[in-house]
Amino acid sequence: MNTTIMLFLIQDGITNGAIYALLGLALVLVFAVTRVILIPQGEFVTYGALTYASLSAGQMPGTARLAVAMGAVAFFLDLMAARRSLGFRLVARAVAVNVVLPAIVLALAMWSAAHRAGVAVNIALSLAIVAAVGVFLYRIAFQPLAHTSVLVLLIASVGCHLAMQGLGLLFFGAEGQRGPPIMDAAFSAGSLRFTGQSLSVYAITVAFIIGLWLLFGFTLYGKALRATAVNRLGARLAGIRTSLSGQIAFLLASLIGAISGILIVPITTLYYDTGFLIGLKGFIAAIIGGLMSYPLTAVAALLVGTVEAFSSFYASNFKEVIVFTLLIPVLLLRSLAAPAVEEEKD
Amino acid sequence: MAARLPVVIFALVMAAIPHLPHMPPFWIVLLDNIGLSALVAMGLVLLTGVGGLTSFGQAAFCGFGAYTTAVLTTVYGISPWLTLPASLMVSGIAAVLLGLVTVRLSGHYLPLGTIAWGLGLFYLFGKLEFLGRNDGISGIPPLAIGSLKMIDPGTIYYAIWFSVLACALLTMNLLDSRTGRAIRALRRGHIAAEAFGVQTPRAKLIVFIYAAVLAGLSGWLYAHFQRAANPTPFGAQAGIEYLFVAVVGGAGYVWGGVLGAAIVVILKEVLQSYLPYLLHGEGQLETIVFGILLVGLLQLAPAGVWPWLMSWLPRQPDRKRPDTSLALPARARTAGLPNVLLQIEHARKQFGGVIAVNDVSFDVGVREIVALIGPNGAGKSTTFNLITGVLTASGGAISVLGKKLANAPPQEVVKLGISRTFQHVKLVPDMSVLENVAIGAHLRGNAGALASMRQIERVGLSDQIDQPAGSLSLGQQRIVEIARALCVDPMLLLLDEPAAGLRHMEKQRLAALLRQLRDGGMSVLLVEHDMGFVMDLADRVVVLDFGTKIAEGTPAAIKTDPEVIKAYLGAAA
Amino acid sequence: MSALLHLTDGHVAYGKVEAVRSVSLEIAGNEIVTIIGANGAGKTTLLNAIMGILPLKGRVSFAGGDLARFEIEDRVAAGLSLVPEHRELFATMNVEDNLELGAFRVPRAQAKTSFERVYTLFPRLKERRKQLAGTLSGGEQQMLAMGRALMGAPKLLMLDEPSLGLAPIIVADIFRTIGELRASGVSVLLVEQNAQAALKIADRAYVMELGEFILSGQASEVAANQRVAASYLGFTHEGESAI
Repeated sequence: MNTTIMLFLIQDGITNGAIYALLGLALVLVFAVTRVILIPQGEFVTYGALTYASLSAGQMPGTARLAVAMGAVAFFLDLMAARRSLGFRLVARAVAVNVVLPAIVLALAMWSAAHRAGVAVNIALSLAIVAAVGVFLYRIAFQPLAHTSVLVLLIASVGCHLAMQGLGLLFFGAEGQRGPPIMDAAFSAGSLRFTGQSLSVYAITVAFIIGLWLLFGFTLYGKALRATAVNRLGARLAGIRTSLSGQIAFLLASLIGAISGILIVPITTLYYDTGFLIGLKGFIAAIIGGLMSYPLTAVAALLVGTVEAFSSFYASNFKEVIVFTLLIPVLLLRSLAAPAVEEEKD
Repeated sequence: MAARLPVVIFALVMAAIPHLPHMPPFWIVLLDNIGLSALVAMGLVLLTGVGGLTSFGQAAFCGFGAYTTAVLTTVYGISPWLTLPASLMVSGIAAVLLGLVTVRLSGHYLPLGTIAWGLGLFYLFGKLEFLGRNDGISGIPPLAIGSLKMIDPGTIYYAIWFSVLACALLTMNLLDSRTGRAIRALRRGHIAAEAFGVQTPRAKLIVFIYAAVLAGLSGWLYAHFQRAANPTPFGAQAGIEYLFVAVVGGAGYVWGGVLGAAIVVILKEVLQSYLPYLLHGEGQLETIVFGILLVGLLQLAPAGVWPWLMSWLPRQPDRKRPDTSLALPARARTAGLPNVLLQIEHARKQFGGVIAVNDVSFDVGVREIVALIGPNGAGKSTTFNLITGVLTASGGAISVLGKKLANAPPQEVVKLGISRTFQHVKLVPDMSVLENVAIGAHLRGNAGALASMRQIERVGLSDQIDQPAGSLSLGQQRIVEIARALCVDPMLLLLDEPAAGLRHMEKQRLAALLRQLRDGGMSVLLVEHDMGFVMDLADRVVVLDFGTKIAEGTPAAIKTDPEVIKAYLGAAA
Repeated sequence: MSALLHLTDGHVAYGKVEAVRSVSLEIAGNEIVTIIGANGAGKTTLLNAIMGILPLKGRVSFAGGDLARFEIEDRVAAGLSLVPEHRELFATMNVEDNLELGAFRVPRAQAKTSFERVYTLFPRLKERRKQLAGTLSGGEQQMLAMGRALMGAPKLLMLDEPSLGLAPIIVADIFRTIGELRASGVSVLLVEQNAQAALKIADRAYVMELGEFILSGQASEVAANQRVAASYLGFTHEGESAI
């Protein structure tokens, strides 16, 4: 192998790894706050990417209608939950968040699809749509299960993945799509070519990591999220709404998923089920990070991306197998490193 | 045998179903699939619901069972019945090999590890030449008894459902046995189980193998039912689906596995056959609806449908009890014991930079009650953990009857006659008081239930014997832990804050019990904060502060020791 | 009736088992009330139900408002606070963050004065403010749990077994602080095994047995009751036989 190929593979690996890092961080965040292993993270990627691609192609994405429908269900659930204490403020808030907001987004999406709005508008709309889906997903599927075991949450999570992937096929069809690049600029350094797109991948990943660090380390809401992760009852006794924490975690996760999707859809063709595989790689990084450590997850993601780049060059048939098999020795090592911890939870 | 009546009725109903007039063959096929799925789910109930080990890889074990018989019957022409033991063996051996790695994984790593090898094996099945790669193996002969060939779904039905019933009974018996209790104790963590001699890695491996063999049986039946085997039904998707089945039905219940199988198989079938007509849609409508229904079902009954249904039925009658008048073999007490039972010399424990126990020496004599007191974080519980082998000492020596423990594991320490309770109660909340206490008698073989009854009577909890341990107050749970520790028939009893949460009269009763035990020849080492209780009961008191022994002596001497007053008791005492 | 907390005919059940039956309770402003009783009598259950952790049947009003429709978080915001038996601290966060989160529902400006107040009550916490909560000693953890609750500026502080597992010298400290709280205008509902200490500091007391209040009154009267003395205090009054 010559250095050019090697450098190229490393660059490719880091670009993919950066995306996996974003997804891995989101998984760690959601797991810490809600104990949900977020299998549908991949669907957020798909939805984000294909919503953006559809809008750019002047088509109305089905996800916008999904957001409205889920908002209606969430509205119903909110009313049911608060039926003993219905007040004007409560209903007004429920209407605003669950009905008005998604409706506005839907209207804007229709307008944008018809008038071919610019890249920035489409990105903003795609993010808004997927974020709404994410928050409502927590409200509808996971909030009622918040007190159950990790296993039950995981099974529910798989259920959500199945439903959302099926909906993805319904909305976007079996054909792959591509979206317009965010940035057209490109330059070369030595034998390496940097596209604006891959640079924005790096920039946004780094920005997100710093943003999360600032959020969790220095803001009250960030600390409240961490507190919910550490001790749910303790958080409630301090007056922190754990359901709100869960919704914020899902909001961040869906935003991260959608951004990842929007970042890669100009580079690769995405199908309705591509997101799942991409999400799995982020998942591997998150596992290596023990579903706990953010920095370790980010490093592991870069490693996964690089291993994948090299194995797809040398043994493309076995690309997935190699990445997954990598996991077993890592798991063993991590178990040996922290063996005597008692798991007191059921 | 009133308890078995529902099972007999169920067996009769299942036997009658194929003979019902106008029974559509389609429903028989469905029932066959339910039975196959139930077998795997039952293994998962034991592994995941009871033992707490979540596995996504069960489908791979079905694959081992199916491919073994497929190769042996098609290539070597061996009779299907002869391949049954081979199929079970191969699944079992695969489980041993994978299990040796898997059960060593802790926490979330374990289920994730099963995903990893589940995916790996799926790819392997599809790549191996002699397994027919992705096309698999076809032309597998049907099962046959004499001239009766089980070709149609209605005849193999009996083989499948006979297996389901037999395995269900076997599984329930296993759960009720000594091994079963050890397995049920696993879910609450390994420390308590190990303190009573349970070899936790072995117990985990046993459930792992058992679940794999059940899956292998299902795979063997599947191969002769479909008369073909290919990788698809043994992949990750199937592995996740088996877990669905167990969780939806109720992961802690044997019949939950069967019910879950029925729900999931029928649901999928109905959705696949009717939904396209109803909605005229294309795409994966059935997956969407299946996913949504699954989430809805979990919200309705998060612990599974089976326990949800059972909660509508009246409570079960009490179980049979062992006869307590029988004699129990007692521990052989060495005649002419030396005066010192437990000797701790310069014990030291360091966690990273923190020295939790620093050069502590003291001993416990025969027939003596010694109290270990000191502020929280003084190293009292750490000392307990060093004695019982939960932690290995960084230095010093601990010996029992003059014999050095040399960092023996908890399972060995308990064999020497040292048993303990825990500061944070470690009982299995959904097991009855009797079952929890019986874990203490793990090393006493089948006499366990009898020993447990005796000790529960002794501590005065006979009235609560059938209640789930989790429903008792914290104070009572501590007493249950003492009964469990007494089941070992110990020479030395280590009690970590036994009186916390007891009221005055209960404390007096506990003190009386401990004195009686001492007079019967037992020694007691206890950690306790209630100074009234300690000073009244103990023969000697050892005071720790910041990991160091600051005083030792009779209660009277300790009460007036200026250093103890300054560090611990304060002026008020 | 100007009671701060007013509970009438409260029932709490675990499934089909009633752990608390027909209990009525009243706490005025600036008052320390204690509930004593055997373990398993239902004291912790009652506190958890008042806080909203367990479902409570019965009427409960707090500071004039009906609590029935309030979630735990809203009760905190309304000025009701619980320091639970297991303390429920944020073990992997430092003392300061724990305290800051205690003031999650109060305005930022007020949180500042709350900090000062807590650090004055518990100078030890100020010394350790950058230390992780999980590494504190038992006594310091109890102080932190109380401090976190006080950060929310509660009108009523409910303490579940604050002395559990602590050295006698620390227990004396904690009880002194409880007395200081009353002086600063906070009412305290105290559930305590250490009946002697609890009755000494409380204004009024309730005695709970098998899920019901069997006796209530001024703390001094309750302490003088011979049955209470025999089963909770561990001595009999002179010249009288116990039970």
